[in-house]
Amino acid sequence: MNLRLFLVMLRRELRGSGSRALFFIGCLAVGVAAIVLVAGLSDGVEQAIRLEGRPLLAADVSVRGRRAISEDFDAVAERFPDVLRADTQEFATMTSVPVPAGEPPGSSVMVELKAVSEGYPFYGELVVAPEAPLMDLLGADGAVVEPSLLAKLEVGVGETLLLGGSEFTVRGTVLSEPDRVNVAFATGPRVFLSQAGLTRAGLTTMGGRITHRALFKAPSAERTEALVAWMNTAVEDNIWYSIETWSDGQPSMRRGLERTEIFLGLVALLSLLVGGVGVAQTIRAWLASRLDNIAVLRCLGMTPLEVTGLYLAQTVLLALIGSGAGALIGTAFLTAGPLLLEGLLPVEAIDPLQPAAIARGLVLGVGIALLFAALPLLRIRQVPPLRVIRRSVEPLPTSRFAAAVAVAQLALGVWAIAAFQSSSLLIGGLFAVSAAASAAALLAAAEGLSRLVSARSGGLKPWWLRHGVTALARPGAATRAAMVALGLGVMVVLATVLIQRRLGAQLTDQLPENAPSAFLLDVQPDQWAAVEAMVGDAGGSEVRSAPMIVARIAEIDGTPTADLIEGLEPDDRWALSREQRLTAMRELPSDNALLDGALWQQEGVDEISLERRFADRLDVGLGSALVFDIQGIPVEMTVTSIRSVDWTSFNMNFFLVAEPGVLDDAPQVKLVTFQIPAEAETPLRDVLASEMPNITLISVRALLERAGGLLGQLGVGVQLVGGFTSLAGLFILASSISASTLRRSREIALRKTIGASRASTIAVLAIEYALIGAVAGGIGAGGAALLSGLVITQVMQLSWSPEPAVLVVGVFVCIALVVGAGLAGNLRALRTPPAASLRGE
Amino acid sequence: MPPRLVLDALTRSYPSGDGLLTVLDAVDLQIDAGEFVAILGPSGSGKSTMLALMAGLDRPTSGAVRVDGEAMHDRSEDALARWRRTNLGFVFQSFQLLDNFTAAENVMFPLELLGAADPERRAVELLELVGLSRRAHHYPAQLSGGEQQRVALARAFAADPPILLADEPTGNLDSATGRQVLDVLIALHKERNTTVVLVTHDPAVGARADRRIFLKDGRIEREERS
Repeated sequence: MNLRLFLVMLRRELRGSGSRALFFIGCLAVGVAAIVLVAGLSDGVEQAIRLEGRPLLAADVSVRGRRAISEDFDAVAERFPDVLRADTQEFATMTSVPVPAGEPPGSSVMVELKAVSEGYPFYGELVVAPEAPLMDLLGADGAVVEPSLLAKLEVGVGETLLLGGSEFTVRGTVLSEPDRVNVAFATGPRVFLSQAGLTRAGLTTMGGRITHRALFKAPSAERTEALVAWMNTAVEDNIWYSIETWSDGQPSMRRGLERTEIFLGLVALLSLLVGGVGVAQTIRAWLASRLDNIAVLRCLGMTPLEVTGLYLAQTVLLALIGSGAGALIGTAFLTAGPLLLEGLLPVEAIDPLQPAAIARGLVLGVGIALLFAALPLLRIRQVPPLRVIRRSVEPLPTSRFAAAVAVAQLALGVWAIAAFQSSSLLIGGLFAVSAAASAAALLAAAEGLSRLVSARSGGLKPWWLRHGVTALARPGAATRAAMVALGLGVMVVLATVLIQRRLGAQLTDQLPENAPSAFLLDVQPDQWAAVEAMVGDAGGSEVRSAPMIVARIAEIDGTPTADLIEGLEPDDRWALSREQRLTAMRELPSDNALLDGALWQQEGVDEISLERRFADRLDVGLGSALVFDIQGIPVEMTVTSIRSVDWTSFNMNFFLVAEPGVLDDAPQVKLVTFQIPAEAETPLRDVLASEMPNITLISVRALLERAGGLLGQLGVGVQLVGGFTSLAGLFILASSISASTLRRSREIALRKTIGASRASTIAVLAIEYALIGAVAGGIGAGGAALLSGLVITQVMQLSWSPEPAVLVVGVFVCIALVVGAGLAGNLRALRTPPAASLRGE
Repeated sequence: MPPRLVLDALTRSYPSGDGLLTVLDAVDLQIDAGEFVAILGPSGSGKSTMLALMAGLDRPTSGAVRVDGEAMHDRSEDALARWRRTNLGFVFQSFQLLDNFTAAENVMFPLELLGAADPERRAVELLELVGLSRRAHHYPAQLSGGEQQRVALARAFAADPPILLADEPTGNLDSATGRQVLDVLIALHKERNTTVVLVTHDPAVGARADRRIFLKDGRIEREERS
């Protein structure tokens, strides 16, 4: 047979394929559309996260350390000429109002000073008043300060402050700072100076108390990665610095993004695979309808290979059309993103043209079609030409070896495609294992059910119940194929739902809904009652407070800190010599977990609990004796417990928690957190400034809104794509059930001819379909639990629970789907007069 | 001249329950080139089985099928398919037209398989011969039973095969249409001197053949000649 005839035959054979061809195309289109859609949404979500997350760092890359930024980093300008740089220094210092000579000095206030260079911040909004570029306001002798400082010192814009012995003119106020995230450790209001101003103030000799940062802005995510990689390998002094991107500082965001990306990729894969199930069902039903034609072609002289080639070519052609359609649909959806997703996701970050994803989708779409079509196509060779004479002759059984090879290639193919799409051999392996286990269980269940039905259903009454049950075991029932296809489809859809629910819950848990929107620093104990009342009057809620005692570590296990510091590098010296903030509480907050020891159990010692990493840094453990110098008074406490702390929870937490009562007499202030409506913040700040000027109010609303926005957008992405896959999967399953109803029209016609009523015929079908749905749904649900459990625990590193309610609902939905779709597929035969069905009309 | 078709102790058995059901039992038969032979017998006598074995659609349990002296029974599936292209025409009781092909395309197909020149013209000529030139572009579903069988006849003769096998060609037709179809078949047979083996249960159909073979219980009971 030459190519021309082959193509002519292809065209003729495709005629009249009609709904089956459309369904085939639709199955693949869904999967490929999901791949393109996910690629676009993933990029969009990731870009959105980057756009929203970078302000938290005010840069793409931050190099942070306790020593001046090494000259090695100057090479960035040469190696990465498209990368911009700004520098900052932050430390606590005192400021006061200058007084005329001879007069006693005025009150001084501890402030958080930040010296910045041109370019800061690269991302995020630094809101200052008056509105002007920060560097223009600062100059060499200007300062921009937090409003609460002006209230404390009773000065105004245009007046003078003393910093480091030099005078600075207050040129404006700072209302919002994008990268001020560690508010719980703030020592006072913010003061901005320029680099020249810092030099002028003579404060650069603060040594290890200064946090130096070099901020870098890169033109793209790829350049950021390249920059970080270069810094980590090429800069000799990099061990002294923390090199961070925005996600390093926000590990919860990063994990959320990673998990969402895993989910999106997995969902696209699952869409494709459920499409493959639909393809397999369609081809099976399609070939079943072509058996007579295939026999005639064989009889007329086409070889088995030529006939197989013809149908293989049809499969490939339809697969290309389906994959192409899917690529178009996915692209169209992304293009319509601005209309559909406005307000849900930053649509400007979504690029509708995804050539790599389109190419991937085309390859995977055709690959999936061929994988799932291989076994049915294999049977073409088994169609005997004798069927033209004896129509009852069925295709010869495929040899066990050939079937085993086909199944093996299907399993390997699924694994390969899963690994390719998810870029993870682990995910590919988990999926292949789950699918193989489910398929094996389904085959065994189908076989077992057939045998059970054959052996035990003889006495079932009424007759229509018996007919419905025994229909499963009749020759040509194709129970096994239907059950495997349905069960795998249920597994895919339910696994998607379970993973989506777990990930959505995780993202929701991270939402800072109950997190404080404001902090109060330096609340004196005798002010607490009044402050609490003020906050309440301002509409504040979720008010929490903790005592804060400032101390230094004087001794560790009998060795003075001064001796321990000898020979240490500056970074490590600072950790021992700096001021520590202690608190006292009877019970630990919910974001603390006791790792070792016990809380306040030991008699005869004053106990203290340490955060794990802090304890490691001090090289202390359970039983260590720490002596704290609290304003000259030594206080010894013994480490009796070690804790972990979730620092991402936005709540106030402490490295050092003392036993209640030990520090009651120590000088202390309260650290207060609360939620407050946005419009009440400024009035409260003003009231505090006038009545209790020592108290600093720091708002973190912008940070929370950004965090909430990020997590919310991840959640939207998860719901959109997960929902699409689940619905598409249900549609494919329903349609494939309908598609496989070829043989029933004749059976229905015969039943009616013999005298069965329509109601009893429907009952027979419904029972058969319900049984298939129940068994396939049950095993599919088990497979879904297995797959989702593996993905959630092994890949997403989250905790997992089986969610039995979801599984049970899934099984009932499956039963309803099979019964509904099966009956719908036979509706015509049920309505058509028997003679017409028997004539094949 | 050697016989065109030889069945040599041809036997076909099938497993049935615990035993073996023998449908054809050591049948010996020779058919000369250009003969028109009818195979008659009651239902289950082995008529269709014999036809299937002649066409290479089935393999004998024992014995041989030879066409022009060459053994058919031990050829591969591919070889049999290629042999059928050039040597065999087929007419079936249920017409067996390709439902996605027009009448003309059904007739063209054997010619296309052989790479014949201008198959469409040839197909139209054949359809004209069977009186269906105006239905050339209709699909089988748009044709009556008699029309479908005439298209099938045209297809069977398209490649000018030396042998034509017909399995109950009038079985699904009313008597008038059946006579019409048979007339066409006989006319084509005489025009081309095709060896025709026709299976039927209808004595009236068998009466129109040159030779009649009566099968009973898988064996040739008797023969008649016109």
